[in-house]
Amino acid sequence: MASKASGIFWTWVHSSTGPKTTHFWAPVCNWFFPIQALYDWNRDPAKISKEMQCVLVCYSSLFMRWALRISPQSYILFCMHLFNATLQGRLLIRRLTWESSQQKAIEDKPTN
Amino acid sequence: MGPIRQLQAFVCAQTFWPQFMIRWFQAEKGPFTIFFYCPLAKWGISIANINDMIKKPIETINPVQQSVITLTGTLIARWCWVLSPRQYMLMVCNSVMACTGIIQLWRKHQAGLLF
Repeated sequence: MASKASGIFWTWVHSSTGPKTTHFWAPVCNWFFPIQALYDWNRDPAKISKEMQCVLVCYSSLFMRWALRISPQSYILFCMHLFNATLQGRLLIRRLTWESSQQKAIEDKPTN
Repeated sequence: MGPIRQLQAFVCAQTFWPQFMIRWFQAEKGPFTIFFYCPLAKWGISIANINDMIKKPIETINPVQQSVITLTGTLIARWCWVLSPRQYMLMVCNSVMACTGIIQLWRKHQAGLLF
């Protein structure tokens, strides 16, 4: 049995870019954006903020390009922003289709 | 040459620009590169949040999204501090983002709607 204080896993845990440091958790916390979009899969469209969703889609699209242009390239960051752009875009489309159906309901309402 | 490079070459070829503008157009992190637009997008999140603070009713604010914004802003601000060289502008941007998140969560708490 390997000793508890050594081995690849524990070397990583205690390393300068491991889970005891900010260098690990700051990129990981970026993943909470797409996870939040999954959590809100069925959110009531009246409570979705169109502006915030637009900004998040643009933000992730730009950072997808950025992740491939930095050196070294970060494919994990690229994937994260790809998921985020798609999922936040889905919420944006949910809101926009709801708005257009509201508009249509107002227009179709029979006038007395 | 790609379309952005062609546009950059076209713009830099104009003679009415002063020299410092042409140097900026050709900079490594200038307006024809992605490095210029990424910080603007991050500021956009804070601006959208402030817009929501002013214009949207409190029931429509998403507490999970605001928690994510706060957490991400704080952690990345701390990360910018420990990086070498320190990224002061990025740190300021993320701190502002975290502050807008905290203010939104506080408003929800005051309205009794937090979770």
